[in-house]
Amino acid sequence: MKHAVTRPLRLGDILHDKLADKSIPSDEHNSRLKQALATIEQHIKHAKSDDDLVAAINLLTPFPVPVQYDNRRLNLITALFCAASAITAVILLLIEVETDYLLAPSAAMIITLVTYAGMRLHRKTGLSKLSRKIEYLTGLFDYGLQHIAINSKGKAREYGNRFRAFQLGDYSREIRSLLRGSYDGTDHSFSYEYYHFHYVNQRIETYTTTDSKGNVRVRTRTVYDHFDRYGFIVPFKFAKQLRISEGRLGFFSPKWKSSSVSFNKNFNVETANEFEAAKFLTPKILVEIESAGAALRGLDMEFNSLGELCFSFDNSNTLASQNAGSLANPAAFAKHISGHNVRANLDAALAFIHTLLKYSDNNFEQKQGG
Amino acid sequence: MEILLGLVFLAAIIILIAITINNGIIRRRNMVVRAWADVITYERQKNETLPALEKEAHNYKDHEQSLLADITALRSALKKASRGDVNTDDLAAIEAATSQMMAGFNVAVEAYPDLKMAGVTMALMKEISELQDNIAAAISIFNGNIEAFNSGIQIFPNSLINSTMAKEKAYKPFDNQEASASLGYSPQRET
Repeated sequence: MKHAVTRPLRLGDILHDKLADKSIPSDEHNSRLKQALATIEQHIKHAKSDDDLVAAINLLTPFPVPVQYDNRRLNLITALFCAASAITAVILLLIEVETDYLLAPSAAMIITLVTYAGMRLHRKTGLSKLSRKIEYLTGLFDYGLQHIAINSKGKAREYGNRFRAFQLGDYSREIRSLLRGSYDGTDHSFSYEYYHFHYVNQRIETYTTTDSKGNVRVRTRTVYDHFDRYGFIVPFKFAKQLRISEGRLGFFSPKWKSSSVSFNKNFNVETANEFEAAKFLTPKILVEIESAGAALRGLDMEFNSLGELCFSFDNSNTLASQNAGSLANPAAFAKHISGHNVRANLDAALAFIHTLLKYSDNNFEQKQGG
Repeated sequence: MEILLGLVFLAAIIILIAITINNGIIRRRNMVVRAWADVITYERQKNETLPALEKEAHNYKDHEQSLLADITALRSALKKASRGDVNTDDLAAIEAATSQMMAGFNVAVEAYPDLKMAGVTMALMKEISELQDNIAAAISIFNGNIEAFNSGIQIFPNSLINSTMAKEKAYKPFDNQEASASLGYSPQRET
C-alpha cells in the first residue's frame, strides 16, 4: 500500500494544476472565442431567418461547454500583482517608512482589482449581450416583425400630430425603434406598429452649497428627466376621439364615468362624444381594460379621429422571452432559437386589441379588419 | 369663549365628515343601481335577437316547438325584470331561461350541420355569445359595486352614519346558482 506524501498546497501548485487541465492555452482559447463572437455578430447583422441565426450559433460548437472566456491567465496576473503589492507593503512596514509610502502599493492593488473586475464583467456581458441580440432577432422572425428604419425625431413629430400620447416631453422626443407586423385573429386580422418612444423633460432645480468658510449659497442647475413609453398603433374604426388612461387627462376636457366603481377609480375617460364612449365601453370591454391595466403600468389608450388606436404603457418587456437561453450552451441555444419562441406579453397585448375589436364590431356586417 | 369656539369648530368638522360619508354611501348606492340597469339593459338586448331566432327556429323542424317554447319563456322572464329595482332573483330566472334556450338551440344546430354554417346562424350565435359575455361582465361589475357599497355601509364610522342618516341596507350580490351547483361549493361562514 502506497502512502500518500502530504505537503502544504501552494498557490503555484493550484495554478499549475488548473493550467494543466485544459489542452488549449488560455490566450489562444480567448482569441479564438473573441474572433468567433465577432464573426457571429457579423453573421446575425445580415440574418433573415432562424436558420441564419442557428448557423451563426453553431460557430461556437467546437468550444467546450459552457462556452466562456478562460480567465486563468487573468487570475494569475492579478494574483501576482496583488501579491507583489502586498509584499511591498509588508516590506515598507518592516523597514518602518512613513505611512504615506504605503499608499502606492495600496493604490496598485486597488487598481489591479478594479481592472480585474472590469475585464471579468466585460467578458461575461459580451457573451450575454450577443445572446440577447439573437433572442431579440428570433422574436422578430417568429412573429413576422419587420424593423423599420426611421428618422427618430421626425417620426415622433408625425405621431405627435396624430396622438396626444406623443406630445409628452418639453425638451426632446424621439421614436427609438419601430417594428411592423400583423395579427390574424379568429374574428379580425390587423396590421400594427410597435414602437419605443423616448422623451425628456427639462427642469431647473435649486440646491444649496456650503463652502469651507461655512457660507451657504443657493444655486440652480438644469436637470433632464428621461422617460420611455412603449406601445402599439393599430387601425381601429369602431371608436373615435376617445381616450382611456390611468394617468391624469386634461382638466377642462369632457369626461365620462362608467358604471364600474373600480374602473372609475383606476381610469380616466375623455371623450368628444359621451354616446360614443358609452357604446364602446361595454361591460366586457371595461373588464378587459381593467385586466390589462392590472398587468401593465401607465396604460393609455387613445382612439383618434382618423380611426387609429394608440395603446401605450411603461413596460419594456413586450418582446421578452420566458425561457431565454444563452450562447454559453450553443447546442441548447440553437435548439431554442430554431423553434417558435412564445412572447407571452406580445401575445397578450395583441389578443387584448383583438378582443377590443371583437366586442365593438357589428356581427351582422362584413368583416374588414380593424 | 375659546373652549366654545373649539367645540363649534370640532362640531363643524364632524358634520362635514358625516356629510361626506353620507354622500359617499348615496353615490355608491347609485352606482349599484346603475350597474344593475346595465345588466338588465344587456339582458333586454336579447329581445332584439329573439325575432331572428324565432325565424331561424322554423328551419329546425324537429326542434321547432321546443325552441319556440324556450324563446317565449325567455321573453316572459325578460319582461318581468325591472331596471330600477335591484332584484337578483329576476336575473337568475333570465339566466336560467337563456341557458335553457341556448342549450336547445345548440342541440338543434348540431342536428342540422348545413344550417350551422349559414351566415345568419353563425352571426346570430356569435351575437348571443358576445351578449352573454357582456352580461357576465356586467354582473361582475354589479357584484364589484355591491362589494364597494356593502363595505361602505358596514365599516366604522360609516356604519354609524348609515344607521343614523342614510339607513341603507346591504345588497345581495348575484350568485349564479347553476354555476355554484356545478362547482359543488359556495362560501359559508364558520360556525
